[in-house]
Amino acid sequence: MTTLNTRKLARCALWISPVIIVPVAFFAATPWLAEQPDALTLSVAAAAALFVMAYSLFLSARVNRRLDEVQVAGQRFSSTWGMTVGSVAAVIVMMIPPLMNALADAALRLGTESPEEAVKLGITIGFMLVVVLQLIGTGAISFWWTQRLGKSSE
Amino acid sequence: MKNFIRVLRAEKGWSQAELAERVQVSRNSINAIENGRFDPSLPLAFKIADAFKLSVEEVFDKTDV
Repeated sequence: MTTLNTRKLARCALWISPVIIVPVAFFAATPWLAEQPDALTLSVAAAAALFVMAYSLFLSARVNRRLDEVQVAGQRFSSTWGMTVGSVAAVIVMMIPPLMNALADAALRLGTESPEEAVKLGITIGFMLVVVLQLIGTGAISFWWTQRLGKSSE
Repeated sequence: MKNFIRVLRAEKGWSQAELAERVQVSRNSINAIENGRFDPSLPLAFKIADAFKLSVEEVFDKTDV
């Protein structure tokens, strides 16, 4: 049973990993991107943001394929609340000065050619943050729902 | 909604997983329905009743609705 759960968790982590790896890789590549032309930096940032959003959509479609009605209800509940919680979390995160400064700093470091490019990058990074936080929120609420319904009195 | 799934399962000697397999839902879903945490749709209620070869009224307690 434990092996089965571990295998299930590992598979789940593997499926979710691209959504974490891509933003982390993007931030890790910040020093290299800062030396590149703004057009390339913007393209990479846009590609990363699009990938994260598209992959999130693909994941949710894939997960929904084989669900029964109890699980569908759980998904509906967790996506509704996860989106809200993720958006609120993004606003809160952006209100924390060190985190906001880090985001602004990343945008400024990348968009070296003009302040306009830095603003565009800042918005792109912000969107990525919102999507990632919404995904985390949805996952957390889905986990809570599963635990709540799964509590056995058998 | 109250139901008699636990008792009926015990009579048949079925685990939650076995019943889940018969009605093609997850074990967690059967657990949630059995404990009254989730009210099934009419088609699923019929499927569960069919699995026990009973009517819906014999599986689900309509006085609680």
